[in-house]
Amino acid sequence: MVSKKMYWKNLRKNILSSKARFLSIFSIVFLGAAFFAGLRNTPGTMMKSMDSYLDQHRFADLTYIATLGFGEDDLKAIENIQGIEIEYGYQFDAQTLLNNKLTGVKVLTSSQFDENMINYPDLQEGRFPKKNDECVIDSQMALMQIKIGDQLKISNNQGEKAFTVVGIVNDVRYLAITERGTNTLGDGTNEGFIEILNEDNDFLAMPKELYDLRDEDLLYNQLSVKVEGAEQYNIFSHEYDEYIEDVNTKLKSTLSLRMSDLYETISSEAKEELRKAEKKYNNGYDTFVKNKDNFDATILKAKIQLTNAKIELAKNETQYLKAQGQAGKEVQKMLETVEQTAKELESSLDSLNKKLEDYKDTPILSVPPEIKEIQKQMSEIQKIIQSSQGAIDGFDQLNNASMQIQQAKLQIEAQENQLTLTELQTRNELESAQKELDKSKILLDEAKEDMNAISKGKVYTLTRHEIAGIVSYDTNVESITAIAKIFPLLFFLVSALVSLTTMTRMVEEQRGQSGTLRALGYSKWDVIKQYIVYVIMATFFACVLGIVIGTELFPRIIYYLYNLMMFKANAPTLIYSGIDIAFQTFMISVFVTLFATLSVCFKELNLTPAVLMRPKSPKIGKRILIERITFIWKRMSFNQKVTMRNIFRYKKRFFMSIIGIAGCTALIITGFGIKNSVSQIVPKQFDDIFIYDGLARLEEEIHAKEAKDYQEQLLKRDDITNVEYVYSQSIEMMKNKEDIYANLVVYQSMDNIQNFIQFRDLNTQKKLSLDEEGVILSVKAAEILGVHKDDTLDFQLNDVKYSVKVSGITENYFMHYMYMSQTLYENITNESLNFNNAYVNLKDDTPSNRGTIEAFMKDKGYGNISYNDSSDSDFMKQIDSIDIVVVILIVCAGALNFIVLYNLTNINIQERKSEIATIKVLGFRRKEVYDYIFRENIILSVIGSIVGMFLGFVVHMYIIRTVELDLTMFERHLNVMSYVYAVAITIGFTMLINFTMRRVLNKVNMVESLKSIE
Amino acid sequence: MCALIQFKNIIKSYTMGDITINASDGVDFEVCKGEFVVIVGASGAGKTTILNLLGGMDTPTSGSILVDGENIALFDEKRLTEYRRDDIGFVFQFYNLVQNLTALENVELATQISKNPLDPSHILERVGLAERMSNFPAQLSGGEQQRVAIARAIAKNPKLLLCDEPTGALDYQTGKSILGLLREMCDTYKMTVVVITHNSALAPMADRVIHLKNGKVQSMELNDNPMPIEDIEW
Repeated sequence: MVSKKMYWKNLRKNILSSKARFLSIFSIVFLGAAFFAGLRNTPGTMMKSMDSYLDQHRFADLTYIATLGFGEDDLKAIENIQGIEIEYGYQFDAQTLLNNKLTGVKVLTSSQFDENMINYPDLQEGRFPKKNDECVIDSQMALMQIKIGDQLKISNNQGEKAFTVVGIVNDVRYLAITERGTNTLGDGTNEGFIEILNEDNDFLAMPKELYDLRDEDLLYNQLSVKVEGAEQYNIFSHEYDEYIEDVNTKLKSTLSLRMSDLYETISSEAKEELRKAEKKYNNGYDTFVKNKDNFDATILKAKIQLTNAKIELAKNETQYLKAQGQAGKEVQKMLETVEQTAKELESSLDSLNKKLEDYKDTPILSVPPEIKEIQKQMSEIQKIIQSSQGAIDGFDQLNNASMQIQQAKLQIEAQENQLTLTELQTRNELESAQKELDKSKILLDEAKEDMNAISKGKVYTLTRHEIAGIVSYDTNVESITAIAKIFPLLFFLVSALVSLTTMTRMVEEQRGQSGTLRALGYSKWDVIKQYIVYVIMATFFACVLGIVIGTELFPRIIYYLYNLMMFKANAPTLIYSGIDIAFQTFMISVFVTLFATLSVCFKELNLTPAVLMRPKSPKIGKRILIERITFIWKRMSFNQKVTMRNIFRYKKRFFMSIIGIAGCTALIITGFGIKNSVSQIVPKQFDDIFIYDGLARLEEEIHAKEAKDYQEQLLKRDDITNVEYVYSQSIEMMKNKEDIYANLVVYQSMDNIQNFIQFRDLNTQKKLSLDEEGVILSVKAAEILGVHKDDTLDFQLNDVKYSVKVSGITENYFMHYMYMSQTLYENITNESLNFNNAYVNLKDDTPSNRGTIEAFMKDKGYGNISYNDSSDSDFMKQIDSIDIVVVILIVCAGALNFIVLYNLTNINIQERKSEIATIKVLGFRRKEVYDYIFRENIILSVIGSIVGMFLGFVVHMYIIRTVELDLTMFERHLNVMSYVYAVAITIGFTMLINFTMRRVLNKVNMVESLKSIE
Repeated sequence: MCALIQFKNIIKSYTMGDITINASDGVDFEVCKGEFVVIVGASGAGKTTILNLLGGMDTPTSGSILVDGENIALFDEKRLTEYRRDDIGFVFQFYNLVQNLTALENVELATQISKNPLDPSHILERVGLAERMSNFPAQLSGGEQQRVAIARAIAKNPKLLLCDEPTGALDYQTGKSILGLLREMCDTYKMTVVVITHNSALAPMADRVIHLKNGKVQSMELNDNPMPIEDIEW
């Protein structure tokens, strides 16, 4: 036991006497473990923290939005689905005046605001709305000078209403600072959201017609669903997705069924209505026709009777005149005329009677009584005339008859006038009836069209994959995961290697001691155990401490930085520490070092005590490869030769240094490279590829002929240099089981379009030639679909599928595009092309110029104009967050470089103490001594940097491809400056280390040179 | 005055805790130019301290050391470095050759910093290593290594050749030949050589012998007819 006691004492002394070495192993393992555990736990921590925040704020697992709204029956249909909690509300687009600018906002409503509500907002300031004219606003909007107590008037097509701001909130549906979605009003962008109560605000959400159509008094357009038991899964996990998908399938199918039922109901109701209306119209039409015939016949009959009366009158007059003619010859002529008239009248009566034949079937309405009266009078007149013939001489009688004839004439005339009047009036009435009928015919046709147009009512499902903020958070987590995958490993590799060399050095140094112990009778195991205990003491605690501190620190910092720059959620950090990660960390740091130590021990100590006690013969000097290349070797100065020999003498040290330094360079290259890759795409896309100044939407589609007029109109202006009309539509492209959405742009002129968009090959940067045989596809789309030049590609446009040849693939960074010529479009669709957008180039792209042009264009039937630079500002903000990555990587790189070089230089100095002391004694000046040792570091840094460039290239490529989203392509090429920065910083780090290590060199005592080599 | 080196009342004290030990406790001696000097003393007599002080590796607590008229006791680190660089050639007990350099390169390591060095290969020839110039130290025997060390020291063309137990790590015969070489170098190049050793048997070969004991010069004798090393037995 005594011996054991001494043994432990020796161990303790061992540690104490080599504090620097112990600390160096300790700190390297600590840092390695901390980086590894820390970075690997970061994604977990980010997910756990956000998940907890989302749970706490009761993020709706599912949100449904219905275009036709949800009515009472729809709600009933899903009421009895088990295991869900539902809230009804609205969400709609509106605009509000912010800083004198009409700004798009999303309005979200809830039935009440309390912590039991779904999507419970995170109140930052103030309180929740209690009255239906109160609102809380997006904290991002609050930054735009809106205060609690302000009035916000919001408006849309449905109406407008003023709300008092009572609070400022963050909402789980809008986690990211930048993403506020799109708006159907205004310029299409949203600046933020506001939240209000359901009650009395529904009129803003949906048009009144919808209520009429659905025949409901109460409709909602948004269902928020919380799935029971979903909170036990992390929202970013597959398990969660699967769990939710089950419920979603159930709900979605029920709702979809309801919506198709609803369509059936609405459309069959409408059909019934239409049928009725049609019947009514047809009846009306029949009646009209009947009435018209009736009228025509009646008028005719009346005319006949009138004519009869006139004939009678004429006869009477004849008789009268004959009677009178005896009195005078002049009358003879008059008589002839009257007879003539009677004849004519008779013939017209014939024709009238003939006409009447046509109306045989038509029941004839009664002839006006006045006409009968006339007839009666006529017969009376006749009687008088006949009676007067007998007494011709009675002149008075004759005069009497004449008077009566005159009277009858007047009456007939009056009746005739009356009849004409009646006819006219009736005809007018009939005409207006006809008009009325025509009108209702049009309405009927419209109703028919409307019936066909009744929309089927879409239900949109929003899961966490459709909430932009959560998706972008998820993407960021993925980027960190990608980074955490390789970088800490690099660190670990280096720290394991460093502790390996350190231990080797220690075992070698203590050969004599080990030999002595062995000679004293300690077993080999006893000696080895000493090192094992030493290593475990150093690595175990370092590892535990590293895991604890790393896990606590790194995720916190990274999460904090992300939250600071991108996400406004004040979610408290919940540290995730995976057992697997701790285990991995442990395995690598403790066991690798232990294994290394054991292998050194066995190699070094597997000798007899006698051999051990003799100092190990120093490493033999060797000629190096370079010496064979005489012409280089000869040109080297003596010092350079020495340095080269030394570098290549210690191969282990050489490779470790190279790995460490190359890792450092690679990290920095990756950092700057990522930054460059991401930030480059904005200028590339919006300065190099999109060279147009503005894109104006046309309020209505125009055809080619109109386009010409439109173009002339614009080109007349001095401040507009060029215009190209295009048809732009979103399409779905399909190939190799992949399908993606893209923008189809059909251009009019192959030459002119190139003044607005650059078509060039990504790699060669050569201009692409356009042709009419095929389309130009953007490169990322081609990549996803696996399409190459001259392949064919299917796409779906307005529900019709077409197939085209790809004749070129063009550089593009945002979104997917397919460019097609008008000729090709018309060939494949068999339709003539209509234009809906116009690319515009301005003479001077200044804000004031834009203002005048915009005003002019708005007047001429153009809608919104989006300028080529405004669309990227949001993205630029996001790019700033990349700086975090760069900083993290540079700090990591610096730490890595420092650990490696510090330790290796230290070991180098310790190993060559005697040599250093000797050259000091030989009279080397301080600077010469520094150079003698540090020149090696510089050369190692240069070699390491060169290796690091290749490594960085590979790592950068990996990272960029991993973090790239489907819709964006990053610049894949590393820029020269990234290399330059990386090499400069690496060399800088090396210089710094050299500088700090001077102290160690100065401390080497010349007296060392007098000691024997041990 | 022949004196190249003058030690005047040199005291060097080390403080260990509250105890102060005088490693040199008032050392006085002088050495003339071109002499072969042996400083002898048992372990702890203060030999190494004298060596350190004379070699410009350390400075005394008090007293003055005049080398060629200059008091190196007053030199700062920079001037001491220059002193070592230009005036001192050092031969170590364990040779202290740079393992990674060939014999010739080891010599060149010294000559490249000297003001007017001798030709390295010529010196190596002179020490009998013409054939082994391009060998690494590990390929050389102990005696050969020490010859390289001597060549390295001499090639600097120093005023003073300081040798610390030059035979300490060598066997008897090799030791003898090394001492012979040193003597020869002293005579050939008219160089002042100071050999520090615990072996008093070497005394007869020196022009001047200084005996150290308890940090003081116990005695100093001049030897008008130094014995050739071959004749000395121990």
